[in-house]
Amino acid sequence: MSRRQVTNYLRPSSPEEALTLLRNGGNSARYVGGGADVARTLPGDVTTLIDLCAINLSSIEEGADGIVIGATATLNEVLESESVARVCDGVIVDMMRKVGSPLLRNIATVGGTLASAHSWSDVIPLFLVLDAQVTLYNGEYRTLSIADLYASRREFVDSILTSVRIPASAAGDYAAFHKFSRTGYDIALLNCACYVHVVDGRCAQVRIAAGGTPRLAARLSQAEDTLSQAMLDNDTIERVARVAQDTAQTADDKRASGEYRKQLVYAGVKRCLREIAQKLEGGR
Amino acid sequence: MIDITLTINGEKRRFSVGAGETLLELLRREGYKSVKKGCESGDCGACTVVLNGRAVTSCIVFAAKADGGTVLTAEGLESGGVLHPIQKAFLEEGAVQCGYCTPGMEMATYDLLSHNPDPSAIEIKEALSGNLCRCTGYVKQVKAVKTAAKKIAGEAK
Amino acid sequence: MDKQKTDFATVGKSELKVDGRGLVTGKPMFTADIDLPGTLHVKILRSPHAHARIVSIDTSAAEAMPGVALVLTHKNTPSTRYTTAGQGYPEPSPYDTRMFDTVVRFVGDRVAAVAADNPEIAGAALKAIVVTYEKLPAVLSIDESQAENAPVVHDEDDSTGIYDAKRNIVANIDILAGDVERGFAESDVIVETTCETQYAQHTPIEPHVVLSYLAPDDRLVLRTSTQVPFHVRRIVAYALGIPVRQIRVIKPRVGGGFGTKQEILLEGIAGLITLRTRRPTLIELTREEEFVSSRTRHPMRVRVKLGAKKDGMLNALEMEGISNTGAYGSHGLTVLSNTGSKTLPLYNKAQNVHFYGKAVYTNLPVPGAYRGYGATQGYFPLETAMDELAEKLNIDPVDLRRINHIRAGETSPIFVKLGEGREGVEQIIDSCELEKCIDIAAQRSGWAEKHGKKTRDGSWVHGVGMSVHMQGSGIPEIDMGAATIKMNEDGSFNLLIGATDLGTGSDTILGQIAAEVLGVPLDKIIVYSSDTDMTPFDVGAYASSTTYVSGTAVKRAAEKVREQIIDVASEMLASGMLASRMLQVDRSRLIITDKQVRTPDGKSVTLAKVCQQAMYIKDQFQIGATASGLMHQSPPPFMASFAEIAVDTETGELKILNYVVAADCGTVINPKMAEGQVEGAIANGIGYALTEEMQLSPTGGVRNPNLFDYKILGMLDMPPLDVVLVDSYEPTGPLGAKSIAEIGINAPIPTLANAIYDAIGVRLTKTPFTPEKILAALQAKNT
Ligand SMILES: Cc1cc2nc3c(=O)[nH]c(=O)nc-3n(C[C@H](O)[C@H](O)[C@H](O)COP(=O)(O)OP(=O)(O)OC[C@H]3O[C@@H](n4cnc5c(N)ncnc54)[C@H](O)[C@@H]3O)c2cc1C
Ligand code: FES
Ligand code: FES
Repeated sequence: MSRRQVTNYLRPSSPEEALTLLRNGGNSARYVGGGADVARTLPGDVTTLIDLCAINLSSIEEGADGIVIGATATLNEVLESESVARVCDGVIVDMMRKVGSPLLRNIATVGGTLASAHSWSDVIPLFLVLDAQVTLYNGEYRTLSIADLYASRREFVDSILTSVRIPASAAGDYAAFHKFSRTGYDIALLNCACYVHVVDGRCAQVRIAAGGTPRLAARLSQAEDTLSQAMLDNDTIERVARVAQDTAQTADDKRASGEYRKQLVYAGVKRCLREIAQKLEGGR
Repeated sequence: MIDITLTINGEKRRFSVGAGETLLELLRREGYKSVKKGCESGDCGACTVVLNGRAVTSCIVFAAKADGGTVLTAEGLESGGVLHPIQKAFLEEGAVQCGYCTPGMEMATYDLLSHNPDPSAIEIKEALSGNLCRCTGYVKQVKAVKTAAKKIAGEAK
Repeated sequence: MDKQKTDFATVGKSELKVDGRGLVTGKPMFTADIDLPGTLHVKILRSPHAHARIVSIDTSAAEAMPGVALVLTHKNTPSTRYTTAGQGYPEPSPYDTRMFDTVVRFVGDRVAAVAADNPEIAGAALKAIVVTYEKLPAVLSIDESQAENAPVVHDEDDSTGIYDAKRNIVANIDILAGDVERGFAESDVIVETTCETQYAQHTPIEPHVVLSYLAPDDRLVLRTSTQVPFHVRRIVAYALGIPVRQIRVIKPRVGGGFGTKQEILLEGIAGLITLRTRRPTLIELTREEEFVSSRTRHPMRVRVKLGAKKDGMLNALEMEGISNTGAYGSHGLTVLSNTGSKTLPLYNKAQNVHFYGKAVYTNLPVPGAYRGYGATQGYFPLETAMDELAEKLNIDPVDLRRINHIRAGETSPIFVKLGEGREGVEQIIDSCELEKCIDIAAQRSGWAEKHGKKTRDGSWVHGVGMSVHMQGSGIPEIDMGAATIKMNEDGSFNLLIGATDLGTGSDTILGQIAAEVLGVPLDKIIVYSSDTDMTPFDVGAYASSTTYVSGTAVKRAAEKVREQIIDVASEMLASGMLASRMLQVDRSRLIITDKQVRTPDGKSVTLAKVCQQAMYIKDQFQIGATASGLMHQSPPPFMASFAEIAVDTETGELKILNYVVAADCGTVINPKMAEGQVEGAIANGIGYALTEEMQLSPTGGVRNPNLFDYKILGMLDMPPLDVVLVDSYEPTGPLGAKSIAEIGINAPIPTLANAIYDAIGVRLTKTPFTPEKILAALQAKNT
């Protein structure tokens, strides 16, 4: 790895300045959040690094319509945030504890995590089902759902992701996350996240996603439909998990086969829904 | 080259660093050899230091990013020839075999114990999960962290 | 004469590591921790092809780059063929390697090296080297290697020591005791199983690294992370064509070895660059290079056939192994021979034993020594077959082992027939507490209550498995280690040993042995090891030899020094008394204890005084001695291994709920260190059994050359591990000690394979046992 090619390390103090610097730098400039990915796999053509952490973007604030996490907050800051812990009974905390190790989470930022869009990301599937909204800046601010963000990755040509908003949890909101990996400190062979909003014992709103399939996390709409308006009993869970298994788009890579991943989709969805069902019962 | 200031082990120092240079490269080049190199990709934890109070793998942190910050390495744990309780605990519990992972483990422990003075076994394992050791099987390191916590609590009394 | 075990003052205590203080404070103790002005940094160009001839190589552009000091290729380096295996001379490995060859034989084989002012320039210059390759057909598996008309991996005519180069056979072994045909014919029950093990790597956290420089007297110093400093000196001298006396090898602290640093990979290149440029030279492998180009475990396919009588007594035992030695034959013969020699004697009740096999070349990464050294690969089928046999005979697997395992006072025909790459030596087992190990581990793991129960917990099914093991302690009549002890006038001693502490704690353990014999606390022993200029010879750290072989040398040297001390002391004690009583100081009744020499009637003189007398006062001489350890036996340590697991029938995930091992390693010199050896070996073995695998691409490259994708166990993965060291005493060992370092790594594969069978009724015969494989096997069984 040759790091001497990099000649500039810039620390702009506003999004405007950062954007200008990036545009000036053209293809050879990169934003840096925590820099974990950039330092690890520094592309050969990069000569200018633009560190976003001097912009004041690291706060985590709880408002009426949710929790707004600044893009340069580290994953551990998110994990340790009391307001984040209140989202769906700590589901974000459960997930974050499984991201790399604390040594990584003290470096990696939420913005870098969402921008790097690793197919095996643990954050993305959960944020998908929590219906997180991101705010981007490319001269003007835009807010869009995570789903839309990844629908067209062109969003990232030069945009700065400035924050992500997690909707506040309401009564009846439940979510769970499950990760399969080879060891306790590993990226996912596959991961699943489920969210349900329960009204009168029935799943009024459902979102289910699987990541590391090995493609970028995606919603499993047929499984969602199967669960929609149903009660979370064992038979339903089994049925939903089977539909998820049958409809998930999986493929082979060096870590696992597509066939095996389908089996993991089944088990992962089942474990998530079981966990939610247990919480539901406990809540009664 | 970029000029930065770092407070390393309590000493404020100025350095001229490459824009792409990592904190690991800087620290080793400046003589902090406790900071070990095992992968240079954030996978092994041998290069762990405490940066602004938190343990990080210094091989995937740009040195320039740390500008203005404080760094603690294993060299800075010992004071006046007296071992830090964490170092003492690692030594006494037999948690050190080849010792290559040891400074990194100690720094991860330092972060853990400064935020959680009485961690459970699972909290210890999670905190040190990114510090790979090929020699020990980790049994004695988990014990060492517990012992270190006790020693520190004892000193505080 | 040995003391009674109970009398030990320092042996048997968990003394702190003598190098521990420096390690916990992060002192610059490792190879790359010192900076020398003007150091050259080296990058190595590696073959992208599994098999190719170098047609041309143009280094002119690289050489012209500012900051480049030297470029090495086959054109300007010695063409001597040697072996990289750091074994005793003459090495039982073929001389099939050149520093840089005209043919490359695996993806990652070295083509050229650039030495430059800094790593970036070296890296840039590598890219400027233009190589034209003529691709050659490659053999990418054991079967391809042994097919009719297979491409020949080593068709050069200057390699030596290859069994049959034309047929890609590095080594061939065939030994027979008794009559196996008849043995099987007379057996009531026969089982047969074939198991395959994968490419796996040692992954010490410190990759290979060497720093070379010229000493003021113009001699070459190699400061290197090695297990075998004296073999490094000899092999580098040979490969470079310079005298041994021109080289000094210093081994500083080593960041783990496990066998991979028993290989001379970088020292010759660094040394040559230093000799040519007269500048210090640093070669540090990156983690990727470590995976791609250093050493691995030998992947093997091993078949075991067992024949037994109805009562469970084994009658015939056959083992056939085929070992993949990759592109070079380093350790090919000896690892394969250990597959038989370190496993088959365990079941010495079988009188008819046949072991045969071959080690074959492929165009794949190069295996070498790896903790367990072939035994690991042999125990997988052997202990799996024993489990199958128990089931067929309807005997508890634990009882089947009890019926058949070797005991003290017994021998095995294998000991004589098969040594390490040659005939072995006769040996009668003097110490064996395997029976006790089995009892203790079975009891602590709850075997009797849990075996065969298949307890269910949702989709998870529980199972228990066990296996038993032996290893050796050094290579008898080959391994030699020496120790020198000299006394200082404050009553302290310098212990100089060739033995190589690579994190195992051997400096401490050998210091404890010296302290015990000399009657002083450990802090009176100043240990210095592994420096070919300053310490006596030792073969190095491998084959579980250090405590037993080097420890014997230390004990003997200490005994000689003790005699000298007593000589001086007896004179001192006598002269201080009335002339008439002078004759009454009986040398044989003097004892050294607590830093004093004492007479039975309470007179004493301090060790410091003794040394001062010898140094300054009368008949001056240096109290000191050198002694060697050469052993005629290799007493095996023994181990019983039990695990309880749970398998998820929906995903194939496997959780180890509890792991219990009981081991007999003779006298435990330092309990915490011995436990640490077992814990580390079990952890490494579990990784090998469950997650670790070097994945190879269809063209022979490593697909996961990093710790991101090659998964070794982390702290979260360790199961509760209960290690019991069972008390025993090996009469031939120093203060009763045998070895402990390797044996544990053999256990997890068969123990877990048997536990999987107990839980879900499928036998896995290919490692690693990934959830995907477990699930596939389960589904295959259910359809
Ligand atoms: C050892 C290791 C283990 C890991 N394990 C896991 C795991 O278990 N689970 C998991 O989900 N992930 C894991 N990861 C991935 C990890 O989460 C990402 O590497 C990390 O989140 C990147 O964050 P960062 O802030 O360091 O990104 P950076 O390296 O700073 O940036 C990554 C990319 O995003 C761009 N970028 C950064 N910030 C912004 C922004 N605000 N706006 C626009 N673009 C931006 C950068 O230009 C770059 O292209 C692991 C990574 C490592 C190194
Ligand atoms: S060297 Fe930094 S994590 Fe391995
Ligand atoms: S003690 Fe050797 S790597 Fe941990």
